[in-house]
Amino acid sequence: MNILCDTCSILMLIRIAPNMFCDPRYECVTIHEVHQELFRTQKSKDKYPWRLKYKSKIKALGSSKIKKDDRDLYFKAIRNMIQAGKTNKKTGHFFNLSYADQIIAACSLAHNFKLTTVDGDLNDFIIQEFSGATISPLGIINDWIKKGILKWNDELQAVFEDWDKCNEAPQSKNEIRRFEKLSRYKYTGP
Amino acid sequence: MYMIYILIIKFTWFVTKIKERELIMEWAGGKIKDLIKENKISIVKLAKLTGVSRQTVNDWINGQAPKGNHLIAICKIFNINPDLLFSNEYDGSISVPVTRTRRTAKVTRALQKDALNLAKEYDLFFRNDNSAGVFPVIRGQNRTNKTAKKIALEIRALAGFDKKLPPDHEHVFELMEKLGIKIIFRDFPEKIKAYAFYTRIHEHRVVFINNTTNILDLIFPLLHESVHAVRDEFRVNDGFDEEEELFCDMVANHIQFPDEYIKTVYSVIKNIKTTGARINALKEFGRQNCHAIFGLAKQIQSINPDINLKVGGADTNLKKEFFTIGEILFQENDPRDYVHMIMELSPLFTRTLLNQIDGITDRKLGEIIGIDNMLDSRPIKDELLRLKKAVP
Repeated sequence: MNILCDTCSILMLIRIAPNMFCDPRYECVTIHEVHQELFRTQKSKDKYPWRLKYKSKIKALGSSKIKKDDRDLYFKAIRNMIQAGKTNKKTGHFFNLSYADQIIAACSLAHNFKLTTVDGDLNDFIIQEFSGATISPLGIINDWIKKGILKWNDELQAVFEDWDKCNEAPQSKNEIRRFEKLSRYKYTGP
Repeated sequence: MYMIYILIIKFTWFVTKIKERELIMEWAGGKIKDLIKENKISIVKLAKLTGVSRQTVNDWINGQAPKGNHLIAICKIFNINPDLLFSNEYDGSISVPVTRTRRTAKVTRALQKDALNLAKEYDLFFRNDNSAGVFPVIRGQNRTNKTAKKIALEIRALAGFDKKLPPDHEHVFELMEKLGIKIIFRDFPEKIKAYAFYTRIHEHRVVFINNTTNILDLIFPLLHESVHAVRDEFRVNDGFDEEEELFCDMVANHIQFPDEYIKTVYSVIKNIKTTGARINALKEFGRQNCHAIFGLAKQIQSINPDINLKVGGADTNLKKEFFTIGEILFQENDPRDYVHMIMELSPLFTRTLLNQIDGITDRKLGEIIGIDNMLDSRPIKDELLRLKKAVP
């Protein structure tokens, strides 16, 4: 199953596997809206100055590969549900997703992609309303190590320290345990 | 005329009931019944096709919105657009009653519609906040100058403004906090030709401020919008009321320029011989007390129409000495400074934001605080989360 990577996850993973969108073994895809967010706005300019180095490596799905009818159906359903006010059972608040969040959710559901995002509300929405599949950035790394397409080393370990400095989202205890077992390195990230 | 405090927040159970009713109103489950008939299938068959019980289908028909995957299944079975299963009826929970425009700009339907659309972006944000708060309300029996003056005096007293001086923009922000107004700073779409506008969103008093507004231009419209808020006049959609607009202008004028201040300025101006020197003196008053001089010149001329005070150019030059509100907010281009600035200028809105910050996605936060292309919303979220932890 392919994984649809959201902006924050790409920023966490691209230095670990620069070929994540070029080599099909990584099973990662992203979409135009995320690509735009990474490179066409001022966002992340100061926090991730190195991201431009990876511009040629981050490719969005071409429009011919997007199932437009299904994506539009999901998008309209999501938009209506959000406007009608769906409660997040975890927080008790109404889900309040932005337009881009809704597009990302629609794309991942229409294509049956796993979604990797660090935004809790988006994650919760996919799981609660669509029983959709999501995966954390560390979960993806673990799968890559397990499949043998990624060998963990000291250089990659340094990226975890950067995750910590950049205040990235904390990873789950389960995935941390799994990482330490698979890589034989101590997890030093958030 | 009297001042009362209205307790807007109801008991929690009541608020919850309202939310449920809104949800039912928007999900048009009854249409499933029509679709079943049109397509000559049964409830049992639909239940089987969607993988749920017959009771669940009945619940959908009776107003319970389905889960997302069931909604998709229903749309695929009947080959329909999901829009058909939701009613778009406007429920009056958001209103932009009136709008004070920029200079000579007219209040048009397009302006009202865009203002309403901007307010609608905050629908869920304010629906998620049950604590609209306790608001002071002032009602006047008529819209005469005498009533306007009385209301202005009450508002000045409530705000604790100096009796002899005009308020600066910070004083006005403090007044708005006391009136329970949540201030949202945004870059307005081109069609909203206004410095600021007042709305009611799910019982919350909200004023939107255009970031490009010079702070000297901002004081009077904010006072005007505050008067709307405190009068608690509630008009739905495009209920533009010119008489109410003029009355709010009148009150705002009296709040901004108390009689004693006008007398002081006039006593100085009348002894100056040349027009240029008079205007320079007015400018100095404006510079010292943070106000534009156009409105003040009009007040002086109402006392003595023979005094020539054409201040257009001087007013423009004076404003160049002051920042826009956006420049103040983003002066350091630093997320921490930005957060502290909105906390200071708009504490009630920031509190609502802090209450929900854990659940808001980064992108939605960017939309809510209107900083999409100015600063990355991530560090702002980090700072808000840090503040939430620090101040329980």
